[in-house]
Amino acid sequence: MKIFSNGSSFASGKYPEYLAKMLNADLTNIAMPGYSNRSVWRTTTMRKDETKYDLAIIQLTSKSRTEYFDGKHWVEISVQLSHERLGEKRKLWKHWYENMYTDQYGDCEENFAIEGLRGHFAVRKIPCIIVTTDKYTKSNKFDMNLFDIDFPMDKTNHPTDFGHRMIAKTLYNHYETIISRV
Amino acid sequence: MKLLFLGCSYTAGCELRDREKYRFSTLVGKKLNAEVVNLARDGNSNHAIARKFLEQDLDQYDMVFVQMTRKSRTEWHDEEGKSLKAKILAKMNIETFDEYWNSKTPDSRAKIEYYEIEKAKFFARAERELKNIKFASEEDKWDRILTSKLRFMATDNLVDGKEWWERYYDEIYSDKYGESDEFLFYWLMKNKLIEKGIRNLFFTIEPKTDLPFDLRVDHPKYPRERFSHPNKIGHIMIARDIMRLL
Repeated sequence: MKIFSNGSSFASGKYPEYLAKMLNADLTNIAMPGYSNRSVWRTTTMRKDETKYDLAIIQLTSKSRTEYFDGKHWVEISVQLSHERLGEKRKLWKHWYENMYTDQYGDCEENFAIEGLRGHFAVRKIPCIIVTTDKYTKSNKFDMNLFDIDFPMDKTNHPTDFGHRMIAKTLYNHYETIISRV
Repeated sequence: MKLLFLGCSYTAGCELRDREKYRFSTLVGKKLNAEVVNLARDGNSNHAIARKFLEQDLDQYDMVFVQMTRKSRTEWHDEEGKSLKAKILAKMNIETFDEYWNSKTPDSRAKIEYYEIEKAKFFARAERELKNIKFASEEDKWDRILTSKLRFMATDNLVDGKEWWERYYDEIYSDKYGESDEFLFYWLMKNKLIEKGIRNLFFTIEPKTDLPFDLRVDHPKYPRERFSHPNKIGHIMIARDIMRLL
């Protein structure tokens, strides 16, 4: 069995690995801390990878995050505006979040990522589980909100190792239900 | 049979005297004896086209025609409606009027007195628009951003005295971002239609693209109006080429 995983900081932690072990599967995990929904959508669908995966587990994140290309690298933008490459552009993004960004815009971007990813895997006939770490999402298109699991968190508000095991176990327990739906 | 058309001004029939009658979507609908829903809008970005696409109940359509546009365009959700006013104010100047005036036929422009009459009408119309600003629907809050003219970027969001979107295109936007945007929206819509088994054709007006589009509706073989949109004959030719693709 082969599993593909992508997402932001949660998915770049240990739960995809624990789940792969439970399913006795090989794991390809391209998640990166700080990824926005658009980054996850882009890096998944623009990836040149014809592997016939048996399962894709995608973790989407806060809908307000975005990204841009600075000529050399993709730069992740979140409301914290903490990316070291932001430099002079911090002021522009600060204005964006303070004066121009709305929940409706975020909902729209989130919906694009969900639909784009679902379609990508559907035409390849790869079952796909999409979870989110956006506590306040209004979308009913996710298979699960990871914050519905009462896992222990570390100082950075990410799951502890035990928390990752809990997430993996919950995903494993839901596996058959979710797979029968997708 | 029911057909859905999405796109920007090219599919909306911009510059035609009677858009609904002569645009290529109507002509294709007539040839196929089909009901046509055309949701194209002037100035639409690929973001707007994909958003409208996802709002539809696609199962009711037998065929879907998606005309994608310039990849640099975008949109944002203007909750306060500041951009509507900013865009009207930005066009209330003599340069914009002259642009409008130059779109008139040479015969019309030959009459000097006509210049003053048209100028008065132009500014009076803008004044009326300014007084009557209101959102007719939620859709109106999605402000269309185009790079072809600075006034299309006016939103009254100034950072260090410069419009936010001007700075965005100067300092943030890149071709690589535009390419990824176009790729993501193309495959979002294409995969959805493949998944649902709905027959589809994809068109574009973007000159630099590697995506497998079926037709370029801005091809120079199609005769154009003054602002480069296909004229009545252009729409007939596009409809004929679409029929050949079906």
